[in-house]
Amino acid sequence: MSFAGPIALVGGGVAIAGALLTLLYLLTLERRRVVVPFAALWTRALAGRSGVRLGARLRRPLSLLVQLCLLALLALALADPRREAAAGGGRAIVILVDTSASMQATDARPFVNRLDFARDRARAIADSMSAADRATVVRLDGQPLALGGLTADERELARRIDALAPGDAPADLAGGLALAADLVRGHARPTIVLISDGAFPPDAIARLHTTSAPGPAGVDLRGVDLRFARVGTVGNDDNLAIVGFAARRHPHDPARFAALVRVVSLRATPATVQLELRQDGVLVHVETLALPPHGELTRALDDLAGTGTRLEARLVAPGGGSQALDALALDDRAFATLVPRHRQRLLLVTSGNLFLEGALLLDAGVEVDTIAPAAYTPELAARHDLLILDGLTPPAAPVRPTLFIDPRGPSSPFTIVRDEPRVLVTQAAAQHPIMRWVTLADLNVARASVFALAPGDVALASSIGAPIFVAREGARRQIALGFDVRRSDLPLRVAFPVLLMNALEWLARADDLGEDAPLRTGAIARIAVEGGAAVTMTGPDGSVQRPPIVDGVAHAYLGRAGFHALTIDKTTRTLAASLSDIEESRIAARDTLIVDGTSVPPPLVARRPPWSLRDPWSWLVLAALALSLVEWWTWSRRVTV
Amino acid sequence: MSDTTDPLFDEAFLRRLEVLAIVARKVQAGRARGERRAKRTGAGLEFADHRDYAPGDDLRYLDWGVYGRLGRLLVRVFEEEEDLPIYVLIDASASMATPASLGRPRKIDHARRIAAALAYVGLASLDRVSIVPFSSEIGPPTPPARGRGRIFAMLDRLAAITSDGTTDLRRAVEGFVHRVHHAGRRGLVVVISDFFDPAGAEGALSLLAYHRLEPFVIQVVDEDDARPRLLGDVNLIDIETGEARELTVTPALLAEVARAHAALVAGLARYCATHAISCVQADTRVAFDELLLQVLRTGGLFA
Repeated sequence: MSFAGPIALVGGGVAIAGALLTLLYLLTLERRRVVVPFAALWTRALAGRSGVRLGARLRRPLSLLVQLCLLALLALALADPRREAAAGGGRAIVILVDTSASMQATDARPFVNRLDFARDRARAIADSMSAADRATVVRLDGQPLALGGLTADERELARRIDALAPGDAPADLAGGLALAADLVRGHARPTIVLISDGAFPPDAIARLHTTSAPGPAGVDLRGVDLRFARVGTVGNDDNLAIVGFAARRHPHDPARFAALVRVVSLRATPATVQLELRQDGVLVHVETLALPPHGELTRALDDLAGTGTRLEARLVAPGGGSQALDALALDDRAFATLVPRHRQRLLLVTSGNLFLEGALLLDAGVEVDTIAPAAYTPELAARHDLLILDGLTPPAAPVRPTLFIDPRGPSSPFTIVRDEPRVLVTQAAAQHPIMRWVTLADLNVARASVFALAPGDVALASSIGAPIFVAREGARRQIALGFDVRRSDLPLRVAFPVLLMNALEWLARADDLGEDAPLRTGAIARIAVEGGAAVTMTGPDGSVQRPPIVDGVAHAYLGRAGFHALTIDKTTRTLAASLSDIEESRIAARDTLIVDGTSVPPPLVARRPPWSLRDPWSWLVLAALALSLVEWWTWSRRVTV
Repeated sequence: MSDTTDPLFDEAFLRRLEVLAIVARKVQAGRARGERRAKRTGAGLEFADHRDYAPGDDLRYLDWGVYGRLGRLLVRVFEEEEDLPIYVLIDASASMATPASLGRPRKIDHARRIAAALAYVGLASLDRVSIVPFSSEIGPPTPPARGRGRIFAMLDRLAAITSDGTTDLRRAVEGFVHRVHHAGRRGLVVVISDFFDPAGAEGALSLLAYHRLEPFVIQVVDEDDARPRLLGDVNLIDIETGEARELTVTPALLAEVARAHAALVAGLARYCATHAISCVQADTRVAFDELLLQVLRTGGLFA
């Protein structure tokens, strides 16, 4: 039993009132004077008895006891006692509230947005809990977070629900449900109520398992009563979105830059929209775009000038104005930064590869030194910024970021599982910066090494699940291309120089600073930090976070869209984050959520009346009322006076 | 000074008295020529009527013939001419003035009206009527009067009676007998009282009989005396003595009080019956004229 009321105040009040009551009872009670015509009648009726019953003698202390009981009951009610967690029988409920970007959609009238509606539904679920139920609230966004442990305290739940704020990141559905399942697993009647618009990518839903055994990346929800409460309008497609935005300075003219914008219309009707580009808040470009139904438009603006570093692309209604363009304003804006480029010293170790050397000539940002494998020494490598080792795997791992081309032998830093003849690329990590603007479809490779992925490795390209092109994060970035480019038609493709420049740019960055392409909300930015440096990041909403530092790399969560000011010691740099997620921009609410082939049922919500007997204080007040009624009845019947 | 604010003897009251006087049988009584003749068992020669036998009646006057025919014990009543002054002793002690429940008169007011009615009937019958208030001793009586014209003086005297003091019936009767003895008159003595006398009424009544005065007892009873409406812890105070006693009034105790009151009433009635004294109870719930008609029908006073 715990108390939600002001215990000290109530205790002091009870002590004073109790003392006053006792003092009053210590005073002599004056009996009612009743005049009778012939007292001898009463004397005869009593026949020698005293006339004052034992009950009457005990009545005063009994009456005092009743008054003190009444006082104690009222004091207990004021203290607002709460039951501790019930030993069993009740449900353990996680109210999983979607606070992802799509919940900012404004189609949940009369509520402000979908999250406002979700909060209302969460309150209804909390109100419908039985006395034995316990619940908590979990925020579902890019970083799911439990807002506390299981509790039966309605006020605490209400506080948690009120504390929910809309996020700018896509939801990590699997992570949120895994967290919720962990919270209720082991308790009686585990229940998860997901309050969401259901606008999740199909692959995220496919990871959920309520009846079948989950795979390695699956979420095991077996034994958990999963419920789905929908918010938002089914079929709402009133949204236009910027799903891609990147900018980079011209290699030879730092005063000029190019930008690329990709706009998508999710409407079933043609749409006209005005695209604005602002540099440090100054409008530098505006144009009107006509989008077909469910169409997509990519605009490359390659002749822009300006020295500002902050770029913002914005979709507005034609002719400007302040009226809302669509139901979700968040994806109508995208942000990017323009960072100065520095020439990198590249050591190319090759026995002779004209394709490679020719492609490197296109990148003005690198200064290439070419040597034969026999001339390679670690000391020489240490004097360069980047390495490309073409067919060479030195015994000691290079100390600089390296692109390995066709690494071989036991000293290869990437473990080779087998050789694969006549390889076709079947999967590619299109979202990875190295694969930006690159397609490897129909690529012909005579032979390729298949790598075993180590922790932190990303398969950039695979052949039927066998990785042949891998990127590795760590203290030093490394890339391994599992085949000799001369034994493929890759050098003949436009993608080859693009891929090479992307790879060198990715290698050149020890972290996400200096990224030309903006980061996505919900992503974790990696920032290399010199030992002991203090790192703080101020978000666009003014919130300040201290990113954790692991192995010299700070990990900053980008929860908000906009510009983030990153301060490392006394140096401040800027990170840009945008939603840029076509799946999150598909705001049409899902009427039903199908998991493991079964529709997730809605929660059972029974609105309680405003006043119910569930609260212990109401029982105490009733007891006090009953006690006072009994005393009133005995008083009115002259039993106690 | 009167202790009542109610118009005890208004015009309607007087009209009711007139009706009562008409109802009363007119007989001749006493040396003086009167219109009223008392129904008395005794030495009269002229048969007047029958009445129901009551314990204490002289068995010589039982009508055995009627008993043989009807199976009822009836007593023959003869007309007896005599000089019969009527003294109305009215209890003016404090116990008669306890507050009454709503709709009912106080005992003293009820007694006043009864006394007034008796006086009017007596005056109308040309009897000598005297009003004598008493408590622990007798108060100043009205001079014996005769004729209807004296009724207003009687009413004024009745209205001026104040209720105060304790009840001491024996002492009051002693004083009354002493005064009557000096006056050399005998007659009918109507005692109107609640008889809340710790010493009892027996001594006083026997003293009246001893002095050849014929007592007629009218006991004023009130429901509140028999069944008080109170419960709980009280400080009980006797209105006459001021004696106080702390009590817890319970329904059981109230039942005992009711029994004690009933025993008091029954004891008085039993005594009167055994001593050939007419006795009626004047309940304050019953109107005074109804009571008087009952008295007239029952006999022993006028009829």
